[in-house]
Amino acid sequence: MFLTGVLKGIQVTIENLFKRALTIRYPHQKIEAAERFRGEHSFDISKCKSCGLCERICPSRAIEMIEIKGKKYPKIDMGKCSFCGLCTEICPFGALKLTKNFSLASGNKKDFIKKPRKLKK
Amino acid sequence: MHETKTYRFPIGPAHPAMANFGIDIEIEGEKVINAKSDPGYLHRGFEKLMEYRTYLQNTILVGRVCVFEPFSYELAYNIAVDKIAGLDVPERGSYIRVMMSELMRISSHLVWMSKMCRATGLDTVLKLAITYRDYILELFEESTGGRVYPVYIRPGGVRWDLPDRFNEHLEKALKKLEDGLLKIDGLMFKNDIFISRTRNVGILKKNTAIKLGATGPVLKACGFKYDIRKDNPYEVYKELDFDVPVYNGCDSYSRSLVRRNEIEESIKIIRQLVKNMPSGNHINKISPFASLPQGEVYSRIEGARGEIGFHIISTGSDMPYRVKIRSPSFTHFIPVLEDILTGSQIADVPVIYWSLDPCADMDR
Ligand code: SF4
Ligand code: SF4
Repeated sequence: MFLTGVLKGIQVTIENLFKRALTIRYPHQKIEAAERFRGEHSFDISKCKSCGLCERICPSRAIEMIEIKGKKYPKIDMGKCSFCGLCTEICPFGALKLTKNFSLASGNKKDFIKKPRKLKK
Repeated sequence: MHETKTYRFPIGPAHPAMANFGIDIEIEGEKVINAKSDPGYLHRGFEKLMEYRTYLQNTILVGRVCVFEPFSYELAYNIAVDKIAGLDVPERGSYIRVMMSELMRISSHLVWMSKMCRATGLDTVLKLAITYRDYILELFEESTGGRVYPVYIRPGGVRWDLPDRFNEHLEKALKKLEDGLLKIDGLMFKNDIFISRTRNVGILKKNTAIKLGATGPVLKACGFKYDIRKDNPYEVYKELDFDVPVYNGCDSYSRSLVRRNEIEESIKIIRQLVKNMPSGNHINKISPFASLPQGEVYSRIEGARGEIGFHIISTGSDMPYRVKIRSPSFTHFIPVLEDILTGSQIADVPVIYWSLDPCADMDR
């Protein structure tokens, strides 16, 4: 009675055996992330006017303003960040942006704290 | 000499076949004589967290209540905020909201399919269903920037307009899904092994279903034609033509069929939305730090698992004073599950458990 069920399953398995695999060999191969993908931040320190709006809007409290040469700039804790993109949306001068970089894993806890100068432009 | 007749047997919460919450069952031989749900393992305190964030910041948070259907929670929350703020959603925004939440329903039911098949030992469908879900996740990534947590619905509309070639990609994905559904039919819903494992297993009596507050597919499988999209329409559901699948079996098999047919109906809805999509503005923006007027609202929508509700009290500040979330899995997994499990066979426990479609929203 159950034989037809088993045979049907085997048939699908055999069909799929000769199809191209959907998975890829990451990290040797990569799929390009979409245009709107929200990954690691980029920060252009020359555009930032130290308004502090990004710190105020961050829902995960991941941004802290720290002082560099008398001006305040955002320091981002990637461990807390939820990649929502609110900070980039609210920044009136376009200093903060989200890039497509998603490979942020690290063995060192300090790597997740991104000081303003450590963030790429 | 003391003779032991019954055994207490805890299943979960840290168990690969369980959705992050446990059940304590008491067995006598093969029979379950008593079952007790043991929630709390995944409690993250959303309701409290939301009292300390502005209305806009909360849109980031709400989707995380349930990982399989974040759009439904975003939608229910934002409908409530729209009501408090007295915001009108532009027609295009409303269409996009509905389209996304229907895509989410399909994606959520596909995840359920894979888990259900794992419980019944049909590993082929486990992988097939996850494969088809990926086509939808690609659409989410393209339009919202996030595969799992889209963070897309906003008070007053949606965050961005649809990308340029979205409709083309959407149609391709829907075609693949329809083909896939036929393939899965043969392997799962018309398969004797699946039918014998689920038919007449886990029967929920009609009056018990009403008494314990079951909603969604669990209620529809008991023969009640109750769907908030039809009975209390929100957004643009009033203009759409679709059926509500209802079955009378009251068992795990009926619940499976309801979900399977809901996928078909959702595809039908999405096609209509694409055809009638109006052009124009997609959002009526409010300021990110806006204070909303005083008020108290309750909004409810039909999620993939049942009724999702948000009760929000505003005292006129920029943050809600109190938020209460009504999540379907809470009622399905404390009273309903305990009721169904009592008297069942121990081998049927995973099947019954997954036939109710658990999610992290039971703990919030
Ligand atoms: S992306 Fe969101 S969570 Fe991350 S730093 Fe910006 S506002 Fe904060
Ligand atoms: S919002 Fe932009 S300009 Fe203002 S502090 Fe942040 S990064 Fe600088």
